[in-house]
Amino acid sequence: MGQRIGARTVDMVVGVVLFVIPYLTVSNDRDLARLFLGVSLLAAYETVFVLTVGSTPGKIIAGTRVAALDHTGIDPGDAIKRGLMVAASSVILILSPLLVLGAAAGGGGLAVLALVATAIAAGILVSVFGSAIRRSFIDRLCGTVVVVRTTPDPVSMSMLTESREELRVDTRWGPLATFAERRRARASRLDDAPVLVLVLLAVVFATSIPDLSRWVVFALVAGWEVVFVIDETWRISRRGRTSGHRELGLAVVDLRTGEAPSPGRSLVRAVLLSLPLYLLPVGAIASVRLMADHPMMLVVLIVCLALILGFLGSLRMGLGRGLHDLAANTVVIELSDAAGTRG
Amino acid sequence: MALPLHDDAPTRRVPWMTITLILVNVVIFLFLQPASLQGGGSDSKTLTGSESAEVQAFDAKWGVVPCELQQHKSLADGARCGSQRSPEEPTPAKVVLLSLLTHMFVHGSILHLAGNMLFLWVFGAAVEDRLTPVPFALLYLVTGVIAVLGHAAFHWNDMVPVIGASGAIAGLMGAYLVFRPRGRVLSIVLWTVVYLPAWMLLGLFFATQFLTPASDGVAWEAHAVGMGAGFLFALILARFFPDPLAPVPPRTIRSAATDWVLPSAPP
Repeated sequence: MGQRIGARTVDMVVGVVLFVIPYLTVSNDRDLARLFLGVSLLAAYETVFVLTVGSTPGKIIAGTRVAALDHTGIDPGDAIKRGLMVAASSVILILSPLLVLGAAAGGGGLAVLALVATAIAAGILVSVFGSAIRRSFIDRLCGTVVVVRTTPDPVSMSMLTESREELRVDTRWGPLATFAERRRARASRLDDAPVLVLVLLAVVFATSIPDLSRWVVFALVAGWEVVFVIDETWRISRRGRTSGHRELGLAVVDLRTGEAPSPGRSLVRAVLLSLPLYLLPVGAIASVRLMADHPMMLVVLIVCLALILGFLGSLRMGLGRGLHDLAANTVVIELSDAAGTRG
Repeated sequence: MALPLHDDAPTRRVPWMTITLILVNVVIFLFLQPASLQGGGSDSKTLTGSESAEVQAFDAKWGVVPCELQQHKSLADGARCGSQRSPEEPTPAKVVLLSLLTHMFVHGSILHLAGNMLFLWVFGAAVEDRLTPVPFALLYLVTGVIAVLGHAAFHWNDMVPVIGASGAIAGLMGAYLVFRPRGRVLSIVLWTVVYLPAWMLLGLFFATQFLTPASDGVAWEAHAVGMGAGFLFALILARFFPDPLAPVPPRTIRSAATDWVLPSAPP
């Protein structure tokens, strides 16, 4: 980790020098243009060095390099994508504390920007420190990894994971589903749920109507919650999975029996699952909107965000079971090929 | 509403034309449009009088003014519109027909630019992947022109300049429905992130255009007309521009002399 921090520090010093160019060439009243040009120059610096020698000057000094995972040579498109993301993330890491200070000093207009920048910076740091092999989400998206310079090509995950990238926990019914698998399964939730799609459509359509009473919107959101809980309960208790689970080859099982959970347990699970997925985000959004008239809503916002992060953390950090699974005594497992259910 | 993030089918080649269009729009906004837009003043409605005047003058010069289009001459050259014109309102000299193209590359605020570029990236990359860069660029420009003409048709006496890439981007969204009818788009929908069928997301976009209040200052007619034009052009392009990267289905040749079935190429 020290090598990574050292390399990044050197490269950020170079970045600061590169940022002098837009400050000298672009007029004072175009701060956004200066930022854009600076990020572009930093991205070009990262991309050119990674494509040509595999390392930026900082990484050369630290004795590391960027390698493509599972094949030799980094694809130019991936190198450009990585360069842009590294440049943007470097700028965000520097700017976020400055934005927070600016917002605290009374720059009310900066509050939202500071919040967003801080959230992104926190996400970047969590993705690096939370990975057993210090592989940030940028490297995951670009199919790359930072390795010691002498590591031979092609670099594969199995070479890197005596320390496992994703902690695999085995239950007696099968391996626990990873956070990434569960996230992808949840994104595909609506694939075979036309009723949910229609209700969501109605909610979105209603919120597009100007001057609609907020109580109507809350009622529609509550309606969505009810329909979601019923649909989730029915699917989990009847088949042990949703369309997303089926697509990823996962199943929700009762930890005691290995069968699909009973309707009662499925209901408890669905209600508790809907909290971080839907109710808490709605609460956070509502608290932001009401904060101007009711400053105490800031407490509601912080509580909602903390609970959402806690839920995500319990899934991400290897426990693999959120509050909903713990309360219902269920677990999400990967089905084996013998079960013939993947895809 | 629903904010698209990316679609579920990876592109087979780098969408260079989409990237170029995004860069051109960003560079024009940052380096050519009035600097006062960069402080977010347009989004927060905090532009000063002189800043607003500068922005209005720029928009009047490079945007489409419907009544100029109707009379085939600019306000500076003597076009007369329905309402009485204030002496303070800008009347820059311009080539009226050129504004049919230039308006697509001018944006009114940071949020306006960011929103349009997000939609351009999500849907443009997919359409370019199917069409190749040059037909894609032509589709973008042509549907953009048709979109703004559609708006102008409903506002012939208007002096308010129309700016933004959203008409052209709506055209790409219409084309997307033709080329990827079963596509899914990962979207932020209110409080959740979920894959939505493209037909649902784009149908919702089309339907909600008709709910746009006039006071919003959004050229919703351009969106609706642009989307329709993109859909129709894509139907034609799909026929005359076959997918260059589609796998060739294997053919077999049945021999007349035997009942063997020969492959059309050696294994």
